Amino acid sequence: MNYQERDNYGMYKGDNDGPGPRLMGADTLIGNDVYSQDDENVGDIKEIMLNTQTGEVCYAVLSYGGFLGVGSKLFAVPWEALTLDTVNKRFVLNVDSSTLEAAPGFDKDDWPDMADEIWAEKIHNFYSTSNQHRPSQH
Amino acid sequence: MNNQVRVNHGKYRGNSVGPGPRFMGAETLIGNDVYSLDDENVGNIKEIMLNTYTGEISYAVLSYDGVGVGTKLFAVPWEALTLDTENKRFVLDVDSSTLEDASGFDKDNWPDTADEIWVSEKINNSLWY
Repeated sequence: MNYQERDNYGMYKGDNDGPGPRLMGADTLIGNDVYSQDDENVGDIKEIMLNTQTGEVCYAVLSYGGFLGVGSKLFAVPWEALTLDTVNKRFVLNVDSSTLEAAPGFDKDDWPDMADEIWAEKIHNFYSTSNQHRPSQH
Repeated sequence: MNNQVRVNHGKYRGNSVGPGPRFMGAETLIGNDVYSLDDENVGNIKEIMLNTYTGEISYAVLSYDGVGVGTKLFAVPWEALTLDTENKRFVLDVDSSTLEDASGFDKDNWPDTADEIWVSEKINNSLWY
């Protein structure tokens, strides 16, 4: 499933300055495939976590289910670790599939406290992303 | 529909701290009710538009269902929305009459940013404060 197939409102149809690929509807990105650096289909986007206070897109929550054979586990990935591949209409993660075998995950019935700095540090370290809060660009 | 009804993965359940209300799943917020300052149910969140380059919410899309005017879509700045965690819905920083009078955006021509729309509405119609 990709964002074009999930575009129920036709937001990507126009050739104006509006949606896609810089401006994307969150709902159209859910369920999109995620590929690793070594071009393996490692899972899909289950949820996109927003910081409601700062308006930042913080994490994508992925299921690596089929790939790692652990269906009930979910994985939070820093938004910066993902790149939208508009040619293939999917996301590319900044690590190899073999690296993901050691990825920090959580049970779907026990979501982490995402405001916990220690947890955030662990996630950002794993994906080599910055835990710095970006300055607001409003 | 509110953000607990839409929970698919149980993220707001249980005794653990978990995400929310500071960290909320986009999918659980879509479809949530939106109330105006004068406490009218003015519609619901249809989409949340993300700037994939900066990693910031660009705007939320409010689907407004007014009596006799059909459905209008508004590109609402995120800062204009407050999550009411008690009633599990959003409160929008305008009166319902403001939305009734405003035109919304063309469904076939989604805007680039929220501000454009709201700023032009303000100038053209003296809306928004």
